[in-house]
Parts: sequence; structure tokens; C-alpha cells
Amino acid sequence: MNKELEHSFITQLKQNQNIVHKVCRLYTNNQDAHNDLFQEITIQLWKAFPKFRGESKLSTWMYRVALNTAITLYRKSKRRINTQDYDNVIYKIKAEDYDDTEEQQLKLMYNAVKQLNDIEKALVFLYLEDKDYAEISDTLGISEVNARVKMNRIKTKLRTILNP
Amino acid sequence: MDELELLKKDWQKNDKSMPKVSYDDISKMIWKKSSSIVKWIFYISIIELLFFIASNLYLSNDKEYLQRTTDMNLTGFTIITNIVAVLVLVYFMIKFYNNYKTISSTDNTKKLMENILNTRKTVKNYIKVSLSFGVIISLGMIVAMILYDESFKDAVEKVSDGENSTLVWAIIIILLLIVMIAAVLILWLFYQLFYGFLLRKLNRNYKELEKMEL
Repeated sequence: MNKELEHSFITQLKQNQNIVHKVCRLYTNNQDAHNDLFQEITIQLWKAFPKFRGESKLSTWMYRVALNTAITLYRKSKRRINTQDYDNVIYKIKAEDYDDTEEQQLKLMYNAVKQLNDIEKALVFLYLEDKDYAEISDTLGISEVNARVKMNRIKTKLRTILNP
Repeated sequence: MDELELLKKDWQKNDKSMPKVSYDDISKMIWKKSSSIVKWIFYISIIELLFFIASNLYLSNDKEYLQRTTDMNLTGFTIITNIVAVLVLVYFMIKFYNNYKTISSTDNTKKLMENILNTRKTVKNYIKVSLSFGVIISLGMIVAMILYDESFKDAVEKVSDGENSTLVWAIIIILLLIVMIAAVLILWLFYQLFYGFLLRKLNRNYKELEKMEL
């Protein structure tokens, strides 16, 4: 593959890497697994990149490949030792930005989302990224009505997890 | 739901705490080996196909086996079954390759899953056809052995010592059938376990998507 394509890919991925990191954060529980999934998504994006013609937005294309990799393609290659669990580390960083109750609420919400299954996580992810139901249904391959119904069910489910 | 809106606000400004991967790291990453399920299924399928081709070739080159088929008037039968076997193999290889080519990470999630499962199904069907083929050929061989194989007939007569020969025949046939069924069953169980393990996540997520469309 030519150098120009490679350079263009790396530059664009570097700029938009947060999309991939967010997917990794949602689907993994520690830093090692996060890095592993990040790498696999990067490989899949790179493989698909020559066919990316800019008909859709780069971000839309990245959502698709990243979610598909997390939900369908990715298989953990080796057993890894759990070094640190996310829940204990990452959300402490921003502690000073919030008052206690809001921070507490957020932490509980993140934990609740973590308990959803892979498909539900994908819906929540796209919802959090402010995608409309047309794009959600298009990404997952379900009808718009069903995406809406499912999202409402997920909200109920989250409520149940938060207030058992 | 207020909490979800709160999460959304936080989610979108989360950027500061995210890890940063450098240009060099990404450029190293893109040449690393993928551990995707598609690759696994592809390799395993190729091994399966090769295994069945090899066992076929082995049998058709085995001199003793060929001699026996001639002895038992089965030459025509063997030639026909070999031609059919090659045609079947070519058909499945083309189908498998086409399925594999249509797998794309840029399809929607459901389509992607269906394409992967189809690739897998092609190999599964090939194995089913091969096994049924094996069973039919074995049955043909057993029948031919009973009808035409003189040395086998003599051996049976010797064992039964002139008496109870029907019983001895029945026992032999039943034993052969049991061995055949057991072999097929063990292979089938092995597959269920193996692919069940490999496709557990994919199947679970596919069912979840299907459930939504009900």
C-alpha cells in the first residue's frame, strides 16, 4: 500500500481517535483490554480504508467499523491479567469538576451502562454521541421504529439497575 | 431520563481524560496481525477442507483399497463417487470464497453477522455432505463385502462353524453400523463444542438483534 494513503489514514485516525477510545472504554474493563481492542479496531479501519471514498462522514464510517469490531469481529487473542479495573481509576480524574452528588450519579450511570449487553451498549453509545435514530438503525441494521423501542427499553432497564 | 442526559453531557466533554495514541504507535499498529473471528473461521475452514480432500486422496491412492474395490466389482462405483466428490468440493470452495469476500466491516452490524454466519454455514454444509457421502460409500462397501468378498465370507463361515451363521452375520452388520454412527456422532459433537466456543459472542449478539425485530 502506498505511503500517501498510509499517511492520510494515520493522520485522520490520530485526529479522531477519541471515537475509538470511547468504544473501547465501553466494551472493556481495564487498560490492557482497552489497548488490545484499540489495536484490533485500528487494523480493521486500516483494512477498510482503501474503500472509504468519503461518501459518508469519516466519523460515521469509524463508528460503524469500531462498533462492528467490538460487537462481532473481535476475539480476545490471549488471556490477560486484570491489572486495574476502570471503575476505580478513570472517573476520579475529573472529581473536582463536579459536586459530590453529580459525580456520584455519573459514576452510578457509567456502572449501569457497563452492565448492558453488547447490542444495548452500541445503542447507548450512538445515543450518547447524539446520533439520530435513522443513523442508529442504519449502523446496526435494524428498523428505525425498533431502534426507538429498544432505546426506551434500555432507559427502563437503566432505571431498574439504578433503583433496584 | 435525567441521568442519561447528564451522562450525555459528561460523555461529550470527556475528551481530556482519554488516552492519546501517537502517530508512530498507529503506524506500527496497522501492520500487526488481526485476531478477528473472520480470520479464525477462514483458517479453520481451510484446514477442514484440506483435511477432507486429503483423506479422499489418500483413499483413492491406496493400492490395497483399489484392489479390493476391483475384487468387489466396485470400480465403476468408485469412479462415479470420486467425480461427484470433486464436483461437490469445487462448488463449496467457490461458495466459501464468495461468502468470505462479501464480509465487510463497513456493512451494518446485522448484515456483517449474517455474512460471517453464512461463511461458516457453507463449511458446515460441506462437512454434512462429506459425511453423508462417507456413510453412503461405507454402506455400499459393506453390502459389496457381504455379497462379493469371498475371503470375508470364508472367515465368517469359519467363526460360525456352520451353525448360527445368520446370527454372526447380524452381529457383524450391527457392529459395523454402530461404529459408523459413533464416528459420525463424535465428529458432530466435536464441531458443536468447537464452533459453539468460537461463535458464542457472535451468536449471542445476533440473537439479541433478531429479538428486536420481532
